[in-house]
Amino acid sequence: MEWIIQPLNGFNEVAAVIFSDCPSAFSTTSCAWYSECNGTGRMIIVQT
Amino acid sequence: MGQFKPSDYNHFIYIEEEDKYLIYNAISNGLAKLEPEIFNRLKEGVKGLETLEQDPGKKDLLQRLSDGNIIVDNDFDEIDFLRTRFNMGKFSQKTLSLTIVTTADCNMACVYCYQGTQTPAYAGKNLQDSILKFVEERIKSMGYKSLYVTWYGGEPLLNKDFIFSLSKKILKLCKPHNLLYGAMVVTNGTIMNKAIAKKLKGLKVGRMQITIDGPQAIHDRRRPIKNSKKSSYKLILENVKRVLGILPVQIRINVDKTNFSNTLELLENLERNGILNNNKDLNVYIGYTREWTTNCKNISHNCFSMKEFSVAEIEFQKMLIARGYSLGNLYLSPTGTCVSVSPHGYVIEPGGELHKCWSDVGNKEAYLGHVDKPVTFNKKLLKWLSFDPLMQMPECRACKLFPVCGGGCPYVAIKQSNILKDDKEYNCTPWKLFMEEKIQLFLKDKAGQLKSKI
Repeated sequence: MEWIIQPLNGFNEVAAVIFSDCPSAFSTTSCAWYSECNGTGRMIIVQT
Repeated sequence: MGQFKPSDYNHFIYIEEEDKYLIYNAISNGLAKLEPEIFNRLKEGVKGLETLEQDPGKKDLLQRLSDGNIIVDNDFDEIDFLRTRFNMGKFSQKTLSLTIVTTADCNMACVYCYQGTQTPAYAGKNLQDSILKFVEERIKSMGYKSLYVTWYGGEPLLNKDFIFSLSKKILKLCKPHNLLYGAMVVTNGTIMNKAIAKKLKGLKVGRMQITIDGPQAIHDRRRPIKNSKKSSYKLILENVKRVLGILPVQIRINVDKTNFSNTLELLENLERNGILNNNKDLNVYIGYTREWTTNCKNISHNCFSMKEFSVAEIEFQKMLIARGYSLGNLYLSPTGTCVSVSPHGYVIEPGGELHKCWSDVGNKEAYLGHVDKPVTFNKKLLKWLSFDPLMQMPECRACKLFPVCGGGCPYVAIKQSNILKDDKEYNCTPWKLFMEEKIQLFLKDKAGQLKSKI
């Protein structure tokens, strides 16, 4: 088995979305429903 | 009985030319290539995994499958895990997220505007003081690590001095609390210029979102300037050229049945104007128009269904890749949910009224509080905060892509649930409908197989 995209593990490895690196805020597609959030990064994601 | 069972959130794609399988796990977001033998064991379920568990040579493989959540402990409840993860995100006190409507006024009259024709209100100094107090009280009680502001309207730059002035005060407030601050502005781009962009940048506005709906004739028909025959398209393009290099620009193309076919022409125009070409500060994507409120009821017959939008989106992505643009981030990422259902996110109207969602801006019936008063757990607010798709929506509970979309748009689920009765996929992610094609597209882009010369 060969990883093409490494899995995120548990709670802590899920990337933060809110701030400037938000993949949903400044990308065409990486956020599953950027259309609803108008691509602004209003999505929140688990980060502990 | 063995230790493991396959995750319910595995998705398989057969690669004929390699006789291998791709496996995507929606919880871990991992994507791997599998030998047919492992695929077969996974398809056999617990029994198939028992075969692997009995083979000492497969210990390392099982560990890797487990690391990627492809297999989980037999008694592990993935729904419980997802609900916990969802709620941890929803109630995380890390960030306070505010959308500040600087004015309800706008200099454009877009055909699909959902905000209606309310009396234009402008936020003033009183609101600045109220917001600062609102934020400070929350910093003290919640211990936030960061604050994020979206400047919104109407057209927010019609009240740009408010943005400048409040931004300075917010930055001053953040400093002693060691609060990280970031912002963005959603603007129609007609007022933007170099000086404004520089000033915004200095005030920690990290990017702007500007909408262009097609080539000039299409755009101007859909997004005209109020009481003017002047082309908003020309103005916006000129302004985008002026500010690129100062602030990153995100171009949103709102598409429906009437204008998607003109998207390619728009891309060509953006290239001819030197806007799109190799510009790292610019990003372009399509979004959809929807009948968010009765104010834009007239457009509903032209709106894409989610399925139609998903088809358009893939086509658009292929269009970009074929023109030489590596999208880089075609791959999906798991989301929590929209900040609207968190107690740490608010939309503030020019008069200080509070909402949970942009779609409610201008809707007096949806006010759920005021920035000057303590927020109480009233019925309207609780509707948002208690949003729990895994418990409230059987479709989400059964959906193997729930970790990707987190239940979709809460506004639709809470306020437009009648639509979901007729169109169950209305609130789903395009990934759900075209996952295989999207992953294939990602892999081809990654391998550089889709690029042509630019």
